[in-house]
Amino acid sequence: MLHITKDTGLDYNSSKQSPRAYAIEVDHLSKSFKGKLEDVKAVNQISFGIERGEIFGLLGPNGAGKSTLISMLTGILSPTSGNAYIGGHSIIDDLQPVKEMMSVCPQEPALYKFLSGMANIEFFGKMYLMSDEQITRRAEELLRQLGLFDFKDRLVRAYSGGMLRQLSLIVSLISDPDILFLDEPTVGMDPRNRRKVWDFLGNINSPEKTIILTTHYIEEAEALCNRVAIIDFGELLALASPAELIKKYDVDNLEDVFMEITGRSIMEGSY
Amino acid sequence: MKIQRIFTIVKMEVRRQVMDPLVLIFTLLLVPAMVLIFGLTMGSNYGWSSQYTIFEIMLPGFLTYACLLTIYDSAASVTGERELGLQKRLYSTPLTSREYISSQMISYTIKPVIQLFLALGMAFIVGFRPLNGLLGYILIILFMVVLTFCSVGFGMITSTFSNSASTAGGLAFIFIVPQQVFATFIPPDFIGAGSFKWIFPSYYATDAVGMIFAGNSLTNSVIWARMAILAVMSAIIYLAGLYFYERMKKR
Repeated sequence: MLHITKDTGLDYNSSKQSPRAYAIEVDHLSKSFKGKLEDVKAVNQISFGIERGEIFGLLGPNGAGKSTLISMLTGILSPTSGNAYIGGHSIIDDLQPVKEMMSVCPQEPALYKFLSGMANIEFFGKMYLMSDEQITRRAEELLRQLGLFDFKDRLVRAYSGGMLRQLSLIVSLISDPDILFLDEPTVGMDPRNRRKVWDFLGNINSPEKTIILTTHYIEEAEALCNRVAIIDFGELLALASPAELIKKYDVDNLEDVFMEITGRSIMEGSY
Repeated sequence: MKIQRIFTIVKMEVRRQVMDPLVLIFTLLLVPAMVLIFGLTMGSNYGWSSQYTIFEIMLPGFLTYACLLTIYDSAASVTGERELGLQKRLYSTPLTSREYISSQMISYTIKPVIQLFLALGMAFIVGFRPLNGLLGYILIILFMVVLTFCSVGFGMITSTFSNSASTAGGLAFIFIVPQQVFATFIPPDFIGAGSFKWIFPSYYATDAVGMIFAGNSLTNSVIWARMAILAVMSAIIYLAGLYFYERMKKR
C-alpha cells in the first residue's frame, strides 16, 4: 500500500486506477549516504506517481534531494529502501527494460569532448541500437530545432556552455524515449537560450512522452510543468499543479508557495 | 551482449587514443625503443647466463610490460570518464557492464598488440632471431592478448578505488610494479623472488614467451599449462573487475 503524503494530490487508496497505470510510480523511496557522524538522508520515504504524458517538475533548492531521486529512478544509485516502477518495471529487479524506454539529460553536459557534436549523438544513439539512418534522420531534426545543425561537425570542446547543454539535450532525445529525465537542463543558460529550450520541450511533449524535470528555477516549473513536487531536505512537501498550489496557499507564484512551505527562498539552497 | 554497442565504444576509444598523436607515438614507441636500446647495449652481454644474452633474457619481459601498462591506461580512462559524468550517462543507457568491460578489453588490446609488433621488429633489427617462426609469434601474441585482458580487469578494479584520473594512474602501479619487478623484467629466481612469482599473471606470460623464444616445442605441455593458468587468472580478474565496476556504478 502506498503512503499518502500531504499535498501529493495522489490517493492510491481511493483511486480506482491501478498504481501501475502511472508511467512512474515511486514507493517509499529513500537514500542515505554515510556521513562522518551519522548517515545523511538525501531522500526520505518519498512516494508519488507520474502520469503518462505529463511534464512533471521536481522543484527544490540545491541539495534538496532532486538529483539523488533522479539518480535512483534512472538506476545510477541504488535506493537504501523503497522501490520505484517505471513503465511497470522495478528499478531494483528489472532495470534493463527501464533503461531501454528512458533517457537522461544529466546536470553536467557529459559528452566526449574529443568527438564532434554529431559523433556524440551517433555514439549514444548506438547505445540504443539505432541504425545509422535512424540516427541521422532524428539528429538532423533535433539539431535544426535547437539551432545546432551548422555546428554538428565541430568538436565538442569548441562548443560554448549553452551549446553544450543543448547538445546534451539532443543526445538524451536521440532515442526518442518514452520517459525523459532532465536534471536542471537550463542551468547556466542565458535567458534567450533558456526560453528556446522551454519552447522546444513544450513542442516535444506528447501523450506518449513523460518528462521529469528537476529545477530550481520557479519560472521554468511554472512555464513547463503540469504538476510539480516541492522537495526539500529529502522530503516531499507538496505535489499539485502550479495553479493549484498557488491557489491553495493564496499567493502570487510558486516562489511564494515555496516560501510559505519552507519559510525561505528556493534560491537559498539547503546548505 | 550486443555487438553494436561494444564496437561503438571500441571505435570511440580508438579515436580517443589517436586524438593526441604525440602521446600516442610516445606510448606506442616506449617499449619498442627500450627493446632497441637494450638490444644494442646488451645484445652481446652474457652477464646473467652462459647460454643467453641479457637482452634475450629480458625481451619477454619487455613485451609483457607493454601489456601491463594497459592497467594504467584503462584505469585512468574509466576514472577520467567518471569525473566528467560520462560514466553516469553511460549507466543510464541500455549498455550493460559486460558489454562495457568487453569493449574496454578489445579497445585496450589494440595498442599492446601494435607495440608487440614494433618491439619484435626492433628485436629483429638488432639481430634477435627466435627459433619458433610464425607459429611461435602467433602464440606469443595470444599470450599477450590474454594478459592484456587480465590487465583491463586490474584497471577496472583500480578505477573503483580512485576518485580522479591522476589517482587512478598512481594506484595502477600497485598492480604494475610488483608484476614488473617480481615476474617480468628480472628472472625471479635471480633475485630470490621465486616464491612470489606464482601469484602474478605476468609471470606465466613472460615465462612462456621465453620458452617459445628459446625454441621449445609449441606443443610443450608447460607452455600450455602456463596459458591455462593465465587464462584462469584472467577470467578471475575479469569477474572481479566486473564486480567492482558494478559496485562503482552504484556509488
